[in-house]
Amino acid sequence: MANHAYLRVWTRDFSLETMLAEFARFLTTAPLSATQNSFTELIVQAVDATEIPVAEWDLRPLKMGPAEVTAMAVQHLNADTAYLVNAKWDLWGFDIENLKWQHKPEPLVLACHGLQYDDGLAANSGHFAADLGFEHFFTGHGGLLAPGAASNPFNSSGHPIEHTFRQWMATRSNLKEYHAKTRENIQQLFQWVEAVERALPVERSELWSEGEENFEARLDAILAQR
Amino acid sequence: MRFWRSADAFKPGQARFEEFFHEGAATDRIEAVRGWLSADEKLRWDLQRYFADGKNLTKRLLAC
Repeated sequence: MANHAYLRVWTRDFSLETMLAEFARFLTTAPLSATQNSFTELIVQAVDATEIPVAEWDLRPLKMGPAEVTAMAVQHLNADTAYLVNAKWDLWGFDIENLKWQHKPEPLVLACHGLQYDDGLAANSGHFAADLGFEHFFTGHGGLLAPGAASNPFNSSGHPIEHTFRQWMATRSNLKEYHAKTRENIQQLFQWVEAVERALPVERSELWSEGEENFEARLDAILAQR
Repeated sequence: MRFWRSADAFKPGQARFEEFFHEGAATDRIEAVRGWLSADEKLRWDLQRYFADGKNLTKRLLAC
């Protein structure tokens, strides 16, 4: 299973009374896909992720925006509840098997965690959070980009596809393009974080991933690399 | 623990889904959130007003 990356946001004075109003603002900042620019699903999850969701709304044909999603969510306003919204955003991805670039909609999951949900998960995972998708959209594969800041810079599986990929990237122009496209993904992410900070009274925010010891430092290093 | 809860899956075409969006309450709620989201820039950084407004919005939504 490929590692995922996350955005976590904590706001000042987050409470039962403010959380859905702020969630509406968080949803407004999300850089949705140009071709799929509405929310596709709302899941209301009480207690923790092992419970059957309280409600699931299939929003795909309805072109729902933040106001509509919030209007539905408020029917289940509880401090022990999380609200998960599915959407898409456009990212550059390198298809390792075909050695081709694609700029296409990828899954984006936006969450609001009530303070009592899952024994206070919000304290560590954010009042608001986003599952950004695969970590490699922002770090690249195999520690090729800014290897000095990578957790496992030369970790190789020895898989034939990886061998082909490394050979492809051994060409300077291919690696340069890999860097440029990955940097575009990072810039989009950083612009979103800035938009969140403008839209909400952010106490702190954090970019985190499952595979990097310091995801933010890695992204900074890739952006700084020339 | 609320084990009594069961999943409600709302899909377009189902009566309960359509009812929600044709009730006045849903429309009022949606308009209330839209109004709050379009509040002026000053409100965003006047924290006292910001929080008061957010709380008021929630009360208004629950009253719909």
